[in-house]
Amino acid sequence: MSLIYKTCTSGGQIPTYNCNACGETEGGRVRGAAYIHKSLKSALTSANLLSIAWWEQQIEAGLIFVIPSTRGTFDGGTANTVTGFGDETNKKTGKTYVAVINDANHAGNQAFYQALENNFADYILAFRTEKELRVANEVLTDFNMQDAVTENTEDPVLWAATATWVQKIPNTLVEVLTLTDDIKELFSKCIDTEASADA
Amino acid sequence: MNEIIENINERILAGINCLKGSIPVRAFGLAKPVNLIDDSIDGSLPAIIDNEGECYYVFTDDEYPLGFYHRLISRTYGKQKGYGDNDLDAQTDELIIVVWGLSKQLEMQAEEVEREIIIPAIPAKAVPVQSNFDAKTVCQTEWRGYNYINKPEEFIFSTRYRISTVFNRKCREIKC
Repeated sequence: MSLIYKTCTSGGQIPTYNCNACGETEGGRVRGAAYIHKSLKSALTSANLLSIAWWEQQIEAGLIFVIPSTRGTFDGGTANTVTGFGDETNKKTGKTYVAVINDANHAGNQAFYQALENNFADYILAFRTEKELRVANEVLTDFNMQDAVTENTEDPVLWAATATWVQKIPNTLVEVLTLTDDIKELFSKCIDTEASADA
Repeated sequence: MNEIIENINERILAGINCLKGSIPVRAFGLAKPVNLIDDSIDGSLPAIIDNEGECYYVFTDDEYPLGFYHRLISRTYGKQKGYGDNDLDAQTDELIIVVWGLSKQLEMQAEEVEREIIIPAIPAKAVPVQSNFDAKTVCQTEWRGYNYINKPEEFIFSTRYRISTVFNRKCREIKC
């Protein structure tokens, strides 16, 4: 019997690289965010995440809160390392992610954000950029809300959320899905769950 | 912009009424240069032009101790960070208000009118930029091609002001 030398990826294979000959890029800005209850963690499959019916069902059940039309940033992750083993100087254990989401809907949302700040550990963050949806695979480890006021009378007062989470190896990268038009619309427009309940 | 011009005019009239009582004032909104060509002159003068193309003279009139009109000098556009997929458009309008008056009848000089009536009439949404008290250069700008000479007791000055607005271009799309 011969020995098998194990590698992290299945069979040691690297997936095919995708090259866009037309040079199309993904546009920045965190353009919308969603806070997904941790009870849905096992249901965060690409099939569900790209199904508008699934999203609508979870929103109506109060398990997902969508914040549309935001402005924000995502830091792309910082590696967490510990002292390595064997020949490794350092061993990566995961990545810490920070997203900042600015919401212009200031009025009437203090209670919402206070509750989110008090219960952040129960939620997983998802957010969209131009054409992509990114979904964390772990709950938030920190969540801080601020609504700073500047001296300029023209500056809007925003709810600024700083959301932090950690993803561990081997799934250290935040999952990226290509948005469908209807999911994109969900992150772009205000929705009314009361109206849909009445219907 | 039109609302702010109306607001400025109302405030000027209220200011005049407060300081001088009920006196006739010739108040106009947004005037435009009307091009005139006669045998010897190719010039323009300011007028209110209605939708039918009728022009109404807006400049000095001996029967009124004070008068004024506005002109849009330029409009520039820029971008402002928005939310979601969209960025907003920033629009900056540069306007002037041209004021003329008869100091003897009004018992006020140009600088007093500017300081006590015109500048306080500009609301917070607009920003005063600069006033020009040189009647000759004001007339040369307003009466192009014509040599308008004001009487000594007739003052003319202009105050430039700026209105900045932010809008979502999608909200201005025409939906037929």
